[in-house]
Amino acid sequence: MQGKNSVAPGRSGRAVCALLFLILFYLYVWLRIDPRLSYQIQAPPFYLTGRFFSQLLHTQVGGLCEYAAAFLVQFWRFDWAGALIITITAWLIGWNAGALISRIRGKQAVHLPYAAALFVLFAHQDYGYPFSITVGVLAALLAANAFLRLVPRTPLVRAGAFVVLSGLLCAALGGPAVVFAGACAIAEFAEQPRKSRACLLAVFYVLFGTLTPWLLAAWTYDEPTSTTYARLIPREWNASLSIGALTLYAFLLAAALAAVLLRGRWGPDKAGAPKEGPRGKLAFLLRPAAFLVVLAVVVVARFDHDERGLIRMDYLARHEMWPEFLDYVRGHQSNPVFNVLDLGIQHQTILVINDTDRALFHTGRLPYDMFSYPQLGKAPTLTLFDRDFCAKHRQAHLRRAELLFELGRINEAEHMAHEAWEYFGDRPGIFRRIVLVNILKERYDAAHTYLNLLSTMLFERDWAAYYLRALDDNLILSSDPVLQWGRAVMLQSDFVGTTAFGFEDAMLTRLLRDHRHNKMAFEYLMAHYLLADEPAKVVANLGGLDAFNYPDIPRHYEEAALAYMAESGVANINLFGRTIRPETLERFRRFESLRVQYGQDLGRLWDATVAEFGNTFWFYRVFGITGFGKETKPGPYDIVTGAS
Amino acid sequence: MKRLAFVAASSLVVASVVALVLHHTLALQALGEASAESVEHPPHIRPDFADIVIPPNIAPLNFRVEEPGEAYLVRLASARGDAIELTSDSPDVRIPIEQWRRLLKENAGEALSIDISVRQEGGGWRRFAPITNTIAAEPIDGYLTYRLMKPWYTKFGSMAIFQRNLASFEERRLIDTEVLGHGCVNCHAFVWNQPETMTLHVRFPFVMLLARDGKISPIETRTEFNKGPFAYPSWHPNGRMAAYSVNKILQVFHTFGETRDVVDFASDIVLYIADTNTVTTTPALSDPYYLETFPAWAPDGKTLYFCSSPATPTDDFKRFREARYDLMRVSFDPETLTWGERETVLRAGDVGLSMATPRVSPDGRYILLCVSDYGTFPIFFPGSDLRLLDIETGVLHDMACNSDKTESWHGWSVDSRWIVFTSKRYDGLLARPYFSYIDDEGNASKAFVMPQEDPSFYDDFVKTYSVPELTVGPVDFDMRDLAGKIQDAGLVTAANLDPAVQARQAAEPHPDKPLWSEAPPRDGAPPADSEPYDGTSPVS
Repeated sequence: MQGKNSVAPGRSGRAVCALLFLILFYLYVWLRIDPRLSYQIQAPPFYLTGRFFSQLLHTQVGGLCEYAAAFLVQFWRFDWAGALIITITAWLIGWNAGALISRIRGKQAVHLPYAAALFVLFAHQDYGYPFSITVGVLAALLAANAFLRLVPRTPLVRAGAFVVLSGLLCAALGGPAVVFAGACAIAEFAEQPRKSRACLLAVFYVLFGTLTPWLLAAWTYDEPTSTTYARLIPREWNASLSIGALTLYAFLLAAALAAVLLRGRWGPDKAGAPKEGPRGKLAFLLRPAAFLVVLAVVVVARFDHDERGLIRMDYLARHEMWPEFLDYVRGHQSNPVFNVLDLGIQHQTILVINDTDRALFHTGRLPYDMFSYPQLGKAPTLTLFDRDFCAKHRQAHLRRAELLFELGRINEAEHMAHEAWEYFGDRPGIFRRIVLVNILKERYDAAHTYLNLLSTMLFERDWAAYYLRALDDNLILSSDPVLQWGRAVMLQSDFVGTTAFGFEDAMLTRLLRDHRHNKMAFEYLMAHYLLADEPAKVVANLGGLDAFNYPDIPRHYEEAALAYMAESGVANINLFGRTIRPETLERFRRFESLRVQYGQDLGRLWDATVAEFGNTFWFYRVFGITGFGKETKPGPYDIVTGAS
Repeated sequence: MKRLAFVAASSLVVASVVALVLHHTLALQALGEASAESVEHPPHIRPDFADIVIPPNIAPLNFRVEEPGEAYLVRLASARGDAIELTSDSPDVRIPIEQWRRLLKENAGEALSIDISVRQEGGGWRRFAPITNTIAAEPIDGYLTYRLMKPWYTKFGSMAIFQRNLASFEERRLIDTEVLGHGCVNCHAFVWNQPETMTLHVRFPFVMLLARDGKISPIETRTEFNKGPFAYPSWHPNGRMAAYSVNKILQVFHTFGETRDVVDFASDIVLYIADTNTVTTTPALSDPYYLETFPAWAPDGKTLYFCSSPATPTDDFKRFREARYDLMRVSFDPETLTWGERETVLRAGDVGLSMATPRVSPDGRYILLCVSDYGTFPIFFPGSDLRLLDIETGVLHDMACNSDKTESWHGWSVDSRWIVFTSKRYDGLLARPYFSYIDDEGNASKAFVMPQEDPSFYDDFVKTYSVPELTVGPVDFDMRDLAGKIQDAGLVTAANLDPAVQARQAAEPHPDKPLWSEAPPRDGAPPADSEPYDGTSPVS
């Protein structure tokens, strides 16, 4: 029943509101959060095999939930599909939470589904938030609603049904099963607060819900009780506490407790008619609506653009979308990852620069534009060769596996891929790398094993099928461009070392010694000399211009040659029939005159040169960084170069 | 009326299904026997379970027929009892476990014939020559304990020790580093195939778990003498003490060929006396000029075998290929705890190979050991093989169970009839557990891989097995017991160093580094042929 003067929206009005909300929600998840980025950093493995299912089910609490979530998360490779899945599950959580709170409160909770969905959205804004928690909470709420609606009120029947359901849910869902126990207890208490049997039941639910993990640990999972309880705490993919999940739990608990306190007080009844109350009709609508608006604003405001930018760059690099990567870097110069002057060098800075150099190489721009992008002196950006750095930052292993493979250090790529596997667990990209390594090392049977495994992953089957065919068909094997590349550059001589981390120049020189046509090794070696401020070595290796058919002298090599000539006083250097462009010479003269003019006053030199020369080797060798994204003069210079 | 209709309809459905299945089965059998074209060679099956000797208590050897066809008829028969006949549209052959057990039990010592017919696309049948295996009279120990891990480099992610019931497919996790919060678990060792007493090493935290007399004790094994924790184990037959190597090893990496290698810079052998929680040693087992590793007790407990090589210089690891290990022994009196002098059993120079991981057969006739070109870590050598040394004659035999890929980590059954080892023959990269039968003359049968319920199990299984150890029964501890002891640091007891060793240490400190430069010259040492990673000249 709805009164004539009611301000509560009608059924169609609510449907329109819900539809609008869902559309906005979907668009936000699709276009702003972009589920592909969550998949990029989490990538939970999913195999279409009974063994995988059985293993998840039998080895840990919540295995079924993990399985369902891992299955759905695969579709997050497609942003629109991921957004759809998140939107639907969030709305279902909202709808179920609404139904549950309405039951507890005895009145319809019109706005609660929106609030719950917004909390789910808040959780998903954190790219490390595991989807299994969303799935688990949804299943727990569904089970709680079903339990409260379908199980007769007879205490013994309820207690028995609860014991069975609670055990099953704890085994299947893990941590989110506490939502079920909590919801049942609160609802039981709220519906009959003065009946001692109901209160006893509620207490029983709480106690049994707490006890279930212990029983599971003792009888089913054969693991220490502490481990089973620890598994119930919502954690992110990297084992840190999931704030998003805790917030969602806290909201559901708060909403349920509030519903108990407000039971029978103002608000609409189950039919949607507002109950006359001291605060008036308008208040009922406005206050929750205002809360929702504030909540939505908070959620949107909490979104971390910078983190998204970092993951987006990682996504583009891991998918080898090099032009897009460079465009993105150019378009996001304000990302703090590039602000080494104020924030110091972060490990992400080094990783992004490493990807940038690779992108520059693959787009043919490394010798021309590397100083148009961020670079750092005295940091292991080019090949991440620093062992301590890699030990601290596991993402480095993935990058090194890719980079060393392309350079031709196949054994070290194999090593790094396996280290990454230990750090990140099963990931298709890692298995692909291991397959390619094994094919190049002619361990075809081993490649077969990994390809068979990849064949059991839904979205890897085509890739695996292609290479399985290739293993049986020499023509494909010999014409595959990735393998052709690998064979052309693969190191053929054996050296031994205590780690897979050597000095950059020795490593790159050795590659060139084995394969003189390894252009990547050449450009990386030259980039190394540039970054190490060794223009003499750049000049000494200009013979590569002929070997690799450069039509001209790449800009940064010109700049190094000019710097070398100016410093050494050698006027004639072998440019292998090429000439330094007049405009480069002219720019060098201008830069030099400014440098002489400002002498040791680096602040003023920065101001005078950053706009015009920030993308040159000359600027880099003075400041140890490039002018990328910086218009103001730098802070303490010793951050990067040690100069003062 | 409704109920009657429901019952009638249900009966009709059930009868139809039964009739269909029967028709299909009978049709397959009739076709298979009527018009089969004979094929002279046996079919290809995977895993390769052809021409092998199997224990009478092994789980069903499920396999996949690698011959194209639309239907498969498989008949397993022996001298006595009913044959097992299986028909299927799938090439996967899963043998019913009860029928299999009965067949093997009734025919121990007899031949087992596997007849396979395959229906071709056009409808004709091909009947392949039978595969003939032998069912040994002697059963294998009922349980196998092994470690499962990813191919390891330097980081410890997740690994676990499992125990498999060899008569079925039941597999149980004994310890999993995911429960411990990562780290490493390794070198599980039992007292001569008896599961009641065992040790297990854990790294991070460094602790050895000693399971004995129904109790589990975490032991800190590092002492003033051995700065590093215990490594390779061998229990004395009396179950009251165990010998361990203590090694200072370094993993190195190649830029071409096999990626991984291991250099042993310093190693000694110590004796751990469980009753008194004491660590002791003798100069014969801790010579600073030599590396001593891989202890292995003889079944009488009066001889300890081990491997030894002149020490590798820690400051010049490029000479690591010079390390070739001899097989040595030293006598021991378990009552007085006194040691004899070290003796050479087999010289690496004579064999041309380096020896590792000797394991004496429980009957005392043989030593099973692993040989490779150099060094101490055969699992990384593609060419490492098993060899059987006849202790009485001193003859070192090649073994038919070897392949052209890596064989390593081996052990005996309690009756000395079966050996288990890991081999990378499946795909060249990942080690799998294999079994082989040793006959009266010491001949090894062709090896077969540990059977799995899913015939394709190994085709996409990317973990590697290590240290397979046979036991006659299941381990009586579960993960809760083991993990609880590891996680509670307050329970850890430090091992005591034998006062005699302590006194010797005080008088003549055992050097941290082995005395490489003063080591006596050896015959047949290969020339130095490696360069440091950052050098400029290639190894070869």
